[in-house]
Amino acid sequence: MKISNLNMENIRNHHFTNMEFNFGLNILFGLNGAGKTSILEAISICGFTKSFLPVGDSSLISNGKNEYRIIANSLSDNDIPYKVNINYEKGCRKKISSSIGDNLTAKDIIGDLPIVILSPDYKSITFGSPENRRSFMDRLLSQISKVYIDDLLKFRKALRQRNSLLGDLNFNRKIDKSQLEPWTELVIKVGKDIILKRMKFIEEFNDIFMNYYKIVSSDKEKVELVYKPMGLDNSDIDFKSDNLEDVFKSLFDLNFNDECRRGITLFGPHKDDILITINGGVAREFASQGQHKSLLIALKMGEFEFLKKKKNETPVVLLDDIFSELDENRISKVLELIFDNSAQTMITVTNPETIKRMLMINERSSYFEITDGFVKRIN
Amino acid sequence: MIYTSKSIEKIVEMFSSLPTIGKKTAFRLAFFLLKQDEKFISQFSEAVIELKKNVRFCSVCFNYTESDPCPICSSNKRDNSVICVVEEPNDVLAIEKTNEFHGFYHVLHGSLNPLDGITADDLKIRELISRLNNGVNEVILALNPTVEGEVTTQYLSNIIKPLGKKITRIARGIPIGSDLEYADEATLSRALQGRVEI
Ligand SMILES: [Zn+2]
Repeated sequence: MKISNLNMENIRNHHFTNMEFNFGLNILFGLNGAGKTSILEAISICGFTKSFLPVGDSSLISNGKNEYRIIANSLSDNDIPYKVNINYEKGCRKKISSSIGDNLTAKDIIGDLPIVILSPDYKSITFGSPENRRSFMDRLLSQISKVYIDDLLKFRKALRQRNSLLGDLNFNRKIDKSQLEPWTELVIKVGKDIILKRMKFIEEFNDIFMNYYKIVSSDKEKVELVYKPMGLDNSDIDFKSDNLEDVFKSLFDLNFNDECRRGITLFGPHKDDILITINGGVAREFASQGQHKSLLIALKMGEFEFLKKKKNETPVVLLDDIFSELDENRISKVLELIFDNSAQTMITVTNPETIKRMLMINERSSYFEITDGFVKRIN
Repeated sequence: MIYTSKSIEKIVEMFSSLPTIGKKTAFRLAFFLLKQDEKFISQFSEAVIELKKNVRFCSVCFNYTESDPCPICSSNKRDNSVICVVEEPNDVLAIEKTNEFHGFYHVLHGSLNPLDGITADDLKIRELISRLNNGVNEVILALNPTVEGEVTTQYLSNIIKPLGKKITRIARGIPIGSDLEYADEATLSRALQGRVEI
């Protein structure tokens, strides 16, 4: 996929920005706060309907304005045009339309413009809580399968409803316990599907990840992803596709009182974790700063390859402020992957020279200078 | 909102309290009414008052009606061995339009939704169970294809099953996340024909 043109209105300090992108490398440079990252956020909204930063839609709108609007025109690898149009007005539902139709929901467009993002914010994937690793996995799988998005949405809804009922049961013993049953059944049914899909994904993704770690790091450590359904060890419980429902049921039966007392669902894919191990130890505890960086890049490069393979479409790559976190050696590995795949890339830097000196003459690149929400194309 | 007329402000406020009506539409409606003659206005306001005065729930199926039991429940041309369970009165309308169903209805007035504080006691479930006498062979569960509709379907089938009735649910021709009300007639009648036993 290549984005040919991006049109954004009232996104942070961009009041009206129109950009024609190069199909190769696009270097967005400028001072901090100039509005470089906002351009990547707008592209992220076109792909995911959300910014990749943890912000709400209303805080993306320029000061004093009431709505933002983004239009992106792109071409698939087979030159099929794809247009997406997103309009958000404070207090209203986001209006989404694309080449496939109008009045769409997030589910309808996620994955149609495949994107891989590397941002300092994603450090938490290897450092942080399980939630960060789950959302890494969800973002990737959501771009590949609409059924997966459906399952996730359904599960979240069922979970909130079940938790609410558990809370009620705790306060009001009169409520008939039989009302909990259908919610439990749904949580099990959908939860099982999600866990099986994640299990299969980790199985397939592991080799890709290990391979990229080898490429990125000069070290010889052995790394691996270990999926822990519901945060439990495989040694605790034998998770297999045919017994998963029974495992689920017995966990709920055994812990019914505990769940009622706490008013929350204690078992399900919302408790999943993926352990990243390095020479058998948990990376979160044992990895050095440098190893963390290599792990993150290997995950992201793996994401690119996996997404490309499954969608049969080259993802657009967004690199946000990576020079602040990564050394040239690691960055060059990322660039190699990008150039080998002729992936369109948007990168933000404060000083354009940092990236310029890493490029060969024959690589297609364009420079955009960003100042206070204004964009000037340099070449 | 400051406007030159208190009366306009008031009617706009009333209109915009209605579902799907925003401020802009409310103003359009208000200006439309201003252009009409006295006769239209009195007919219009009478209709609103009559609506609330005359319409109540059918004591059998809980659909809206002016006569109790409602025309459907008191008809002797319908198949009294089948009851179709729906969430809202709108759904009865949608299914009637297909001309595919000739049994009786039962309106639950919602679906199980703990987050909104709606439990089984808040729905017309007890009333449904009391209707399931010897004459009834089949209960069709035609709830919305939402998470809440799905769970309510499951809950109802759990409690109806011991009564030895055939339980079916309408087939999934209906797009997930949409209401029955909005499904087109063709989709709905296909869904009714292709209902599956649970
Ligand atoms: Zn009736």
